[in-house]
Amino acid sequence: MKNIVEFFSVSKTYVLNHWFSMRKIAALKDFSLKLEKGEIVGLLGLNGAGKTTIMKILCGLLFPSSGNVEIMGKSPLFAEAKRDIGYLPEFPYFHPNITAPQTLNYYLKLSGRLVDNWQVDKILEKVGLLQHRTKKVSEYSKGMKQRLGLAQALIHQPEILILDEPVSGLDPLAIHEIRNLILSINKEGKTIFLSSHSISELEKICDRVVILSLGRIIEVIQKKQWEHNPKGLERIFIEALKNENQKKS
Amino acid sequence: MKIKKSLDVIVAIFTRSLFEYCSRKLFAILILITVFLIYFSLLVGIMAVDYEKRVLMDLGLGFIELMSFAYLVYISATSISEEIQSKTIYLVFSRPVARLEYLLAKFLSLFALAAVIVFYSGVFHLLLLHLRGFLCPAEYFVALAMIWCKLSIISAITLFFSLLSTSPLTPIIASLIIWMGGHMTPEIKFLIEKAEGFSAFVLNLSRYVLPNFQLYNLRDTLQMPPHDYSLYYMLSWILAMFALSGFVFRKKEF
Repeated sequence: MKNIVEFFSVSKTYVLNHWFSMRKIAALKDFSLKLEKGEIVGLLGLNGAGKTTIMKILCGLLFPSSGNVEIMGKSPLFAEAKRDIGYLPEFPYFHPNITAPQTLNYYLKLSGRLVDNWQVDKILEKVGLLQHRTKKVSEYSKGMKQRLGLAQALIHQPEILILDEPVSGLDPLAIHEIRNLILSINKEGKTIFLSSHSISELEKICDRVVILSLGRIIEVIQKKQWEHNPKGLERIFIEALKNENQKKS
Repeated sequence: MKIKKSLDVIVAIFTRSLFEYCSRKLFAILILITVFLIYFSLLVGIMAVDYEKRVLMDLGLGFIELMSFAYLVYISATSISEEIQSKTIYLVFSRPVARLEYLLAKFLSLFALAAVIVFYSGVFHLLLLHLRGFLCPAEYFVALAMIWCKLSIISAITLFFSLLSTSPLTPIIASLIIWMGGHMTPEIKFLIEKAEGFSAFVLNLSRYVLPNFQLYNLRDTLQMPPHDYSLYYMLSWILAMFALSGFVFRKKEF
């Protein structure tokens, strides 16, 4: 299989300046990972494990302190690489006074494409918002906003989807819908890289799960491993964290 | 082709930003207050008897400048920081958008916002002058253009300061100081002649660091033609602020 994303020993240290003092926080340490085309890879970890940092580095929003990242052989800091990614941050915000098609056309233009109402309607239908196309975003529920978030990530037909906590704060029905949507997007051959706190969600959709602790990969689990474990991914995750803590102590 | 794509991106961000600034409730409130203040100047004008036209013009232009300044400084200070807080900026920079394209669109949208506010308030002011039976001199329009120049400079400065700070309060305070200092250029020149030592050095420095807003104060002397060089002066300030902002913004992480 062809590698579509590659992290080579990436580290990220945040420098916090406060008046005359300076503090360094290592958010990511020596992170190496390869994503193959068409797979769904999940990032699992506690708060502060480095999940969002990884996603932001991949989108070119943060710069690695050391190491490098390649998206189809190109640095994410270049426009050519960014054309191939679609990003959904946690709790995306959209201008409340405009409609979903206006929002999507705006992001289409930012992606270097022309306004395409046919493409916009196609994506809105895919995410189940076509019947709400005339409503303003302010009238949308949280689940609808999340679907609009997915639509903006898909509008320019990227190869890779980067989803940061895509089901965070949603009700069970919305979670079910988003999950099905992610699976249907993956069936079209798109590579999906997502992070979540929800072990059961990752268990249901991922081909591979990367367990992170304090910015380090502690284990990479294949689907068959949690399928063969009677207590599933949750057990593997907790044991991996316990082992890591024991190693440190 | 690359330039065309770049222009499309700049136009998209520019129109979206301008729409956002003008669709805020605060914008409607600002326009209403400006209209009210201009209307209030009618009362003062009537009391001035023989100088009614002059008072109406001066007060009206003064209110237009003051209210536009307040809104523009607030918008310039919060424009980018609000996008960072709401994570909207993530959706912009995860796409093939160059940071300079984004900054340029933001600068242009602020100048356009200044033009929109000055235009709306100016139309109302002119209407009021017309209703009172006063003909408007050509210099009036030059005075409005000069207000726009000043507002463009201060919004560029505020936007630059907003990139250096995480709180919008700092750029607002800095802009307020610069705005006041920039209107005191003649006083500063006078004090330089009198001062010695360190205070002379500080005053001299402030003369070069602060923009000279008095260049654009046509309101005080409506008969005076505008300086040819005031346009170049404005452009230099804006270009300098854009270059500095670009330097700061190029390595900014979100």
